[in-house]
Amino acid sequence: MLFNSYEFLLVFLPLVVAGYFAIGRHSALGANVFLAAASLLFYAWWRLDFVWVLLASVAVNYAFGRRLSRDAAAGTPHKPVLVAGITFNLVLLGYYKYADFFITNVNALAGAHLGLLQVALPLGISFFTFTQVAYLVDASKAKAAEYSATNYLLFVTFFPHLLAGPIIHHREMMPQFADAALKRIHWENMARGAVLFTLGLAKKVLIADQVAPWANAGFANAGSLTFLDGWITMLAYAMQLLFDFGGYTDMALGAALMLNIRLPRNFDSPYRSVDIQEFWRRWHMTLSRFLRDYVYIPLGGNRGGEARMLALFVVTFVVGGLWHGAAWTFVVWGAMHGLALVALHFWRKAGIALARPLAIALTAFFAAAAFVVFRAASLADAWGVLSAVLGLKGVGMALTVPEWAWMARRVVPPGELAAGMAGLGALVLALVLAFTPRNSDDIAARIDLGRPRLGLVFGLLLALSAVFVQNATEFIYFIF
Amino acid sequence: MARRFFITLVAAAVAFGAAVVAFNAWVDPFQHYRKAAHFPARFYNAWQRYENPGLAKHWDYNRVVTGSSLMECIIPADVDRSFGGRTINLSVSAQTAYDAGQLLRTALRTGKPRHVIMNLDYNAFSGAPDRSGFAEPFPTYLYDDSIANDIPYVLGYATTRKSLETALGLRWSRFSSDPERMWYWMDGHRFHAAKAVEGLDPADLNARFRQPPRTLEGMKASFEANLAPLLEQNPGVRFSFLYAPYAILVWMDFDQRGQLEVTLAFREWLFERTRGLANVETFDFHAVPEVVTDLDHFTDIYHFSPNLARGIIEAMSQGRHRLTRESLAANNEWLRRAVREKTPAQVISEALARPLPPTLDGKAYVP
Repeated sequence: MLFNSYEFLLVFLPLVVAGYFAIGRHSALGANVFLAAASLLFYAWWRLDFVWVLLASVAVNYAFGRRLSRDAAAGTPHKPVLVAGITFNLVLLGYYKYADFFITNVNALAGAHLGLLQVALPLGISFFTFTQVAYLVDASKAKAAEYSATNYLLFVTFFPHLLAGPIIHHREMMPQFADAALKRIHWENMARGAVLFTLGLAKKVLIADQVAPWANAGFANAGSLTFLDGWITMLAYAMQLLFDFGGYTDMALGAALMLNIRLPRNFDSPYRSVDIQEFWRRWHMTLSRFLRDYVYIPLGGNRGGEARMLALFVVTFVVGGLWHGAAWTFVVWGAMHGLALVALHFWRKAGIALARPLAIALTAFFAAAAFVVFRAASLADAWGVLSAVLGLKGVGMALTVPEWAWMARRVVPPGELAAGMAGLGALVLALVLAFTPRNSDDIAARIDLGRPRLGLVFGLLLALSAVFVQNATEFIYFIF
Repeated sequence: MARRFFITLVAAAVAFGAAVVAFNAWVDPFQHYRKAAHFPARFYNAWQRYENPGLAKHWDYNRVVTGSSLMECIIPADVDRSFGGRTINLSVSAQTAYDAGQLLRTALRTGKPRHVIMNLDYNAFSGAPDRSGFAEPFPTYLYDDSIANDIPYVLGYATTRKSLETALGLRWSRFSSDPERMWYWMDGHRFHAAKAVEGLDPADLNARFRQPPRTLEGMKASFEANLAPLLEQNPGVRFSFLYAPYAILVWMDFDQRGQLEVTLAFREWLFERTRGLANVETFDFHAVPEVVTDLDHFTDIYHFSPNLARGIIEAMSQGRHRLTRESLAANNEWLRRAVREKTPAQVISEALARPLPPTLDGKAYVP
């Protein structure tokens, strides 16, 4: 089920919120069971057969986690069990997500003709796999222990984070699920959650979905873009991704907050970062946290000298790139960020300082350029866009993408003009908002709830966004 | 305080949403609830999948003409003149078998149609049986009789925009207001050989149209899933299938792409599949030499002139070109021979050398 669908907005969310608190007045366990069941329904709405993959993953990890917790509590940590648990998760993820990528590359390198498995990718598998790998590692270190099957099921399947994160830690969620006081309506959480949810929906349907056709048109013509085409394409996708994934995250955090559950923040105006290290502290923050805690540090972190640390920057980000998808574009995207961190390391050593606006512009440009590689269907397409952006095809102002031809015409039919202006307006608005100091988390946290007129404004924004829900499109991060 | 804020937010959203729903239900721009009542009907060519089910439910007719863009310019009055009765044209650009099945199921449920004239376009049977002709999700909520799932219609942006345009008299989108020419697009098009071959690459005839490949099994599955049940469940309704003519270059394209034999095999299979159904007849204009090889009838290699469209309807009403086992075999054999009589380059160069015909509507001709 999509957050930006009528069945979710008008039926699922209101019923789940109402049911959760109605049951919670009588039984905390009952409320958790209800929430877990609703979350499974949320997952099954798309494809019922994927539920078995999810449940199998939950059951096996729960069994491994119990064993690891027991051993850790007894002071006899059992590393082979941890290795077996992690291996199970990697095999599951590998089968569904990477098998065909591996086979394709073996075929290409060895001239073999192995058949592709062509298995469908269960939604959110990267997210629920990483969440549970983190749980197993924490359980082996006695940082997490879960003996309630219901609570564990809810921890993994809780619908706001299930399909596209944020990637959560067991220790930050379980106390909230266990707290009976949180099963009662908390009106401040309800109001702030509704505001955040509304902002997320608006970001998705009023901005990301309006900008998306521009990005799609640009990438569809990647080989023939001019300088101006290239910039529009790159900026459109950079904004689409921020407002799509950021909007989804706001909706996830908002829906959870209405249920008195606080999910970790995932975005903090990333394009306002002054360097790429700060960017990763503001962009997909829970993935950065996971990669730091469960990849970079276990592999040695900065404990093995400068050269090893720098190599690990690249390795960690290549893993992060591959986590997004089984394609060389994701590998290159990850490597670009790893190498950017290496460059930043030497830049700092050299003591070169940049004016803050210039540093922000440079960082945002790099992030947007890297996202071109992330989005492109092939490395050749990515180079088609980037070479246009860099002026390697000339720096003329001509527009060659057919969908943008209206901008160069003197007379434009009103309908075409309105549609074109909506996309252009959304792109300009996105650029302004992306660099505005206050973001949606800040607005929801600080809004004065003593002013019902603001409630009216957000109510109208919610309804307006609901009107734009009709042509529902999937969130980009669902495919990861 | 927070409670009041939350209630205000929800109440405002519900009130605004309800107002939009009421407005859209009143204007009803796609005639989903009633035949156009408060404003003159507008037929939006770009929204046929949204508007056709409403037309099927609320307009008066006893015959449906449907198909892809080849059929959009069939004038209902021409059909009525030839067959009698009252015709509605519910064609859909890039119609697939799935689109047609959904639409005909909706129309047949009303009990109104006694006769269906449908063009069989081979491309309509390519891909999965549930493939629609457009990438956007198919609006199934408009094809049933329930109002419980109508929220996307009464609250959605597309409807709201069309309602505003209609209520304010704006002409932002292209539409027709003529019930006889709901989806007509041929105005201003020229029909002659030189135009028909414009932009074609003789070595890759499909480059311009990018039609997808087909398999016989896939085509059979699509027919069985989408159309066969309608034929069998409505024995009292006459189904007149029609193979509307393509220019010979289309068959050469099939040959170039290795699709010719698949297509001919599908024709044979479909004939046998429907032969035992008393309510089904098929008319074949694919092997009429004076049409298929005379490119002056076409504006491109697929789309024929309005004059030829009239002629085809008249020929059907007279029972001409009705397919029999013998004529099917002969027609298929003729097609096999015809694609090899000349090369695509010869056909194109001859077409470019033809003098322009005097009229815009193509030559008058009854096949």
